[in-house]
Amino acid sequence: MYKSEVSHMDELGARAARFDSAVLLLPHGLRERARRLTLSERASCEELRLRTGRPLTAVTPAGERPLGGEPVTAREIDALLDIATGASAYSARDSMRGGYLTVRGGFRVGLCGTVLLRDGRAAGFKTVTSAAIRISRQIRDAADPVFGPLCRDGAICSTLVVSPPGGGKTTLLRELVRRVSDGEGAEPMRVALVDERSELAALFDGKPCMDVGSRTDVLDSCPRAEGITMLLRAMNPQVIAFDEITAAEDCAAAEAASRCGVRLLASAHADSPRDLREKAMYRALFEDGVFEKAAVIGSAGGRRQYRVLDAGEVLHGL
Amino acid sequence: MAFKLAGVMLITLGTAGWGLAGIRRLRRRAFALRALTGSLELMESEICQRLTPMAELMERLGASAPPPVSRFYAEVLEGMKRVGEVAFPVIWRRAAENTPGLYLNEEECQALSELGLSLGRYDPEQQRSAIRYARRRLDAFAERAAAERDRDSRVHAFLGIAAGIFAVLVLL
Repeated sequence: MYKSEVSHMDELGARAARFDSAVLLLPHGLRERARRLTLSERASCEELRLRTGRPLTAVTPAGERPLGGEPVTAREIDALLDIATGASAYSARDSMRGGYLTVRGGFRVGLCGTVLLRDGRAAGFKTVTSAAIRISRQIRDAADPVFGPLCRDGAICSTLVVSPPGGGKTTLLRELVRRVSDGEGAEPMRVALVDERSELAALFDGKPCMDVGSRTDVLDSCPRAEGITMLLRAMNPQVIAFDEITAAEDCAAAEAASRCGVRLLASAHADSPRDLREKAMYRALFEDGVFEKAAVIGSAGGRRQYRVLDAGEVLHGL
Repeated sequence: MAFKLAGVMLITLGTAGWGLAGIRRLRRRAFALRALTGSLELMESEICQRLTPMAELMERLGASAPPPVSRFYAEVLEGMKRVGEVAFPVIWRRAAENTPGLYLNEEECQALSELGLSLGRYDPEQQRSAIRYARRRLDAFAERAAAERDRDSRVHAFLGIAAGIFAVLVLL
């Protein structure tokens, strides 16, 4: 066997092992069905989905497919919640209010069902009828195609990572954070990370389940805008990173940080550079110089493709 | 004569031991119930103020409560290794039924088991109500057990010694 084939098998094995860890979140009756997938399917599986009354499904880059067997029952979804929270749903109430759970190992379980309202606002779930176990993976070479072009004079530029949902933004952002923090291919810098949904560092029991670098301070489960302000005051960061800009207050906080001379690494949902340009909120961030570059993730033939654009290219097209 | 004397002593010691065992059981039951209600007070603050997850909570309660209540929480913690396979209320109930030395009667065991139905899944305020309700019930049981201990200890002691004297008289 050639060396490259051996390392490919190692990588497949490591990716499949991550899947196997995620399977342990399933109730016993469903685990065997998930384990029937082939090695390459397990290695490429991105999500396991449970819906009451429907069979368990697996999401891979090729699409979502049922794994057969009996339909998932309400009791099995309850058992999944018990496993994910250690029979302590109340201790995860803040994240459940946001519709997800972060569990040991850095996995995220998205939830859907009948929402419990309190004072007109979502306070949790009365019943959970669907759950999606997202199998996040640390892909250490994910930033290779973009890291060089994102740096100037040996230091990272303020960058917005862009892709449609499920396109790999979080994975790329995490790797950018790690490399900047460790000084891998660029000048090492102090990074402060606002991990509102515990997805980037996946803090569990006070320890990050994902490697986000040796010079990274993590502010977990804190709203982005508030977190950016707190970090500016308290941690003297050189770089602030956060996932998914979605609101005007996130933009205002990012702009304030940028005015303080802090570099930013962030992500946003957009289908293409054109989509980015057409969304006034994101456009303004490039016009005001908050972000100097955009790393755009696309896909072709089931494979991810990366492009790095300067602010000018984002604003005026290629 | 020496044999007779030894026999008398053994019989008296045996019946007195039986009486003492009864007294010890009454004392332990009253003590366990009191310790259980005390631990529920800590449980309430841990769940409602610190949102401590169940496994950590059981560990903490196990470390702070005296035996046999510490054994009860250790038993729950052990059972939690099978969460997902076995529902938490079942794990809790089994621990209430099987922990040695708790000496709970059916009614007391039922009150403790019912608390397990509310722990974990509901929001902290609902759990607070359930814990307080369980505490009130267990408190009442603890008071009753203490009264039984004070009243029945004397009966057990008297019966033990009286049975010994009676047996000796019959045999002599």
